[in-house]
Amino acid sequence: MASPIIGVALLAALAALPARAETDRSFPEGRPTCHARVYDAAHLAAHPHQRVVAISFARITRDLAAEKQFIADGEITEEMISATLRVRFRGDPVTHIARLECDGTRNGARYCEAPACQGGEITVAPAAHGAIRISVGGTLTNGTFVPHFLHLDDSCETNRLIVLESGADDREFLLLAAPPEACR
Amino acid sequence: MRAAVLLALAVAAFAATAEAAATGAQGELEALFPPNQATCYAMRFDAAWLAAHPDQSVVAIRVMRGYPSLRESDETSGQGEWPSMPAQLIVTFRDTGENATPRQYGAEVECRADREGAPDPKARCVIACDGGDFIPTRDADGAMHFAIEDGRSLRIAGGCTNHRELRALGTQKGDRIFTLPRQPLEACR
Repeated sequence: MASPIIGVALLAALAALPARAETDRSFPEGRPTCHARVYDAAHLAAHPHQRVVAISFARITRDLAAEKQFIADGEITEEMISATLRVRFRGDPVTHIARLECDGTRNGARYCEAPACQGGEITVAPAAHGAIRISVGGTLTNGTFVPHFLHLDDSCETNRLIVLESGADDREFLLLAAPPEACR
Repeated sequence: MRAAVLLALAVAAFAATAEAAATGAQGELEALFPPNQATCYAMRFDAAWLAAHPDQSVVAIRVMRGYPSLRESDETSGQGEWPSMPAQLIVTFRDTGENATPRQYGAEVECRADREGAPDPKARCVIACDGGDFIPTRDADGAMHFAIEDGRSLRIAGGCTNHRELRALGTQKGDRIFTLPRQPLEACR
């Protein structure tokens, strides 16, 4: 018969898990994921300053391989994920793609950077029903919104940057869990 | 008795001087990085400059206190007795990487005033895991004077855990002192 102490310890360990489990539900280890959003004409008409018309955040085969490598290299925590961000802007037919490395799990949120160009960052947090919320910039506790950005390619030092910026209406995106096709 | 009074006065005077100097360094830091405000100091060197300065390997250098740094300050506000201001140092070098794009590296720096009692207290921005530091001071026109002290360098890549790529700044003479004008945040993208 199991000791009651072990039982209590097990319960305590399980009680410590929810924050981790919450993020793992969005990004289960070793399994591909896809979250996507395409904004329809009505939404874009109501948000004339929004540049993003489609956005997806996926962990595809190469991302899962990268996550395995992170752990094998012993460089990171298990929470670190690799992801592929795809963004399409209003009036631009090109889908811009960025490989991301995401770490840190404060309140379930991960902070993602594109390794090619430094300084940029987005926040990815779990939302209800398996969705995720992507934020560009954020609000400090005193209520000040601080804008930010993320490079979508390796154009860091060129005169034509391809950048996802918080701008007037590109600060937050709610992406629903979707089949893999939605992230291609 | 008189000697004790003199000693006490001397100690008090020394403490006041040290405190003023530390406050000066702290004040310098706060002027460079006003609280709750995204700040960007950036310089990009053109081809003519680089041709005239062959001992400089830096093409562009930026010190940014953007949302990630401000968020970190916000989350740790009031913790610890030796306040620091995180910022990001981003450096692009002449040599190129994949797709023939210039190699860019970034590192988080913790900027803080030297502790009271230091012989010559300065503001100092440090890279973790013994990655070195630089001295930021504020010019009259509000620009950041960026200096790596003699005999030191900054390990901008290959720090605590990522040993895949090591890169240092300041190993060449032309890469030790820069003047970085304050710019809109866009210049640090």
